[in-house]
Amino acid sequence: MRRSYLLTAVLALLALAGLAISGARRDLPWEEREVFAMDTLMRLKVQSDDPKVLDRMEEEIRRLEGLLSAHAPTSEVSILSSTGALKASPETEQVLQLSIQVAQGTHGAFDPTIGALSRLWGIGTEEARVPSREEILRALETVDYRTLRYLGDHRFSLSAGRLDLGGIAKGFAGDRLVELLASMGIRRAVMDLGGNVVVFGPPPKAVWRIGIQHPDRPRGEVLGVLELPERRAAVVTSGVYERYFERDGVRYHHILDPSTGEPARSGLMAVSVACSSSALADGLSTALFVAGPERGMEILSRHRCQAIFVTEDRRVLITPQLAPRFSLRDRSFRVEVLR
Amino acid sequence: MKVLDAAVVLTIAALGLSPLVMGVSPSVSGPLVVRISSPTLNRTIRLDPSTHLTIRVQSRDGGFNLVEVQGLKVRVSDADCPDRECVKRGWLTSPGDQAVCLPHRLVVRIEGDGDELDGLSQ
Amino acid sequence: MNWTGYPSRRLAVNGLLTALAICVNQLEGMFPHPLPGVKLGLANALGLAAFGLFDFKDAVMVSTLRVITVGLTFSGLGLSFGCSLAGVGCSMVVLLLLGRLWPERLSLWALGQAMAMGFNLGQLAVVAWAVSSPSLFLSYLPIMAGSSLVTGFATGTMAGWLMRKAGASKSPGRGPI
Repeated sequence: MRRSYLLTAVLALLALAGLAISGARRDLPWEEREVFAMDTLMRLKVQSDDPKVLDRMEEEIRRLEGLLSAHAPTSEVSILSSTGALKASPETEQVLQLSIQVAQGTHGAFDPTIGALSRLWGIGTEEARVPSREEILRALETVDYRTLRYLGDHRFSLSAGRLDLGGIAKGFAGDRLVELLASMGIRRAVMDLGGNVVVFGPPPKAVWRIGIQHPDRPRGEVLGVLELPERRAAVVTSGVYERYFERDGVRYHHILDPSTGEPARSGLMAVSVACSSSALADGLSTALFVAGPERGMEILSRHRCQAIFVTEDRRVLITPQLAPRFSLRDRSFRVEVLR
Repeated sequence: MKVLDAAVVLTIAALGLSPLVMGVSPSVSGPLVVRISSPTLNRTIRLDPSTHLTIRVQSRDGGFNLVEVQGLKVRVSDADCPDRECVKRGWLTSPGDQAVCLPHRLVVRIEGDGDELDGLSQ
Repeated sequence: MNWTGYPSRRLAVNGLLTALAICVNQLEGMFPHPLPGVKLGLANALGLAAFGLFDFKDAVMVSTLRVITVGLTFSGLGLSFGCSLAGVGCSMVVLLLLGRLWPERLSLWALGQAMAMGFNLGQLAVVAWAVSSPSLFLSYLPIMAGSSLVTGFATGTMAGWLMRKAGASKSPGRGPI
């Protein structure tokens, strides 16, 4: 009799514990902050009970912005652009090296020396306009990633053109922030750096669920959802819908093709790249958009990243490893798994 | 212990777990909104970092709740109900978070992202 | 029929059980609960004891009288009253369906849990209806199920203890004691 009471008590407790565990959410509270930096809104969420963590993250972002901004004339990047020479701080050196590598790896589809061209078009600013053919050609002459050279001893030279690291700076910030969080012993964080999603730590519910913005529908509506079990991942998207202006019925988006000097027309509406490094994902997303699916796949084969290409004819081309992790939400698109 | 005893426990446990199983339902997500529902008011407000407002909800019996929206979070900042559970709930920040004022029949809930995404890559 | 003893004894014991139920009801109000108006349901132990000592009708009477008395004298006829009434209603349905399985095929504590689940479902339904929020029902269901297991076990055990103290026998109809 006594044994059956014990057994029933244990059973009841087990059932209760099961419910409690399933109902239990996170251990530490999540702290959140919004920071406006690098020309965009950044949402930082960390699992921590120390409010200073977010302060340090914000400091780091501002510091990086100070070094890398193409707008601020005192940034190291601006100094390199205007004088052609720079003895770089460690982070700037890292970004520049990375930019050279990505440019080489993508055969110039990503080009950090695109600054003169970006400035000419001014997309995203009040001065956005359609430049003349001559203006484009003149600007194109200065666009060549090979003119950015590392001279050793933290020194760089830029023999022509201007730097614009917009296609990689946010990504780099993401990686730096992850390193910072790891060094502070933070277990989990989710960051949205102007649309660059960076996740860090074991996913609270087995997988990190990251939505891919729908190219046609308003902000916040989702084309599909990626479920990533990795402990560190970044998903960066380049899309025509992000920044653009319209003139005479034609839409000019902000992803310029360094070879034509005009907004890239690769038959794509958007590309999303998933890597463990957010800087690489950032650089590649720009490059893959410019390169298009076929050339893009060749580029991807040399990097350990995955991608989703959303074409203008409503196909979703996805790399094989990513395919099982992606669930499409809008059935008007067709998913094709790339080889 | 008898057979049916286990059956009772398991049935109750199953009932308790069922919402968690059903909770993962695919749906077309939308932007984050706060939904305020009460017998006297039904409003849906889109959440946006620049949103800052306070709404006074009148209840049927003449009482009130103050719903405060600050950027991407919401709370019931004040109420004249006896227990003030709704106020004690604090800030609502994620989809699914809700504050309930039972005496005034008020529910304030954050919705959108039907499946509660961790992030949206754009 | 489980009853033991004379009809007058039955009436007296039922009265005692009802009074005790009202006391427990007030006492358990001191336990905080996330949803106002919703109670743990420990007072159901007395109704269960009435069932164990006598009959289903007694259980209905003890629990219903408890709810009505509390509503008329203490809590008022508001949402809390509605929750308790619906809760008792549902738990009585459970008792009607499962009560006959005790004591041979169902332990008292399991019966207590099942009735607690019915009680909580009734309360939850009233709250969800009151705020017009069906999703509230689903989101609180796990907690209510857990609570049913714990308080139901407690009510079943308490009822069993009470029954032994009141001189209940395992097999029904053993005659007056």
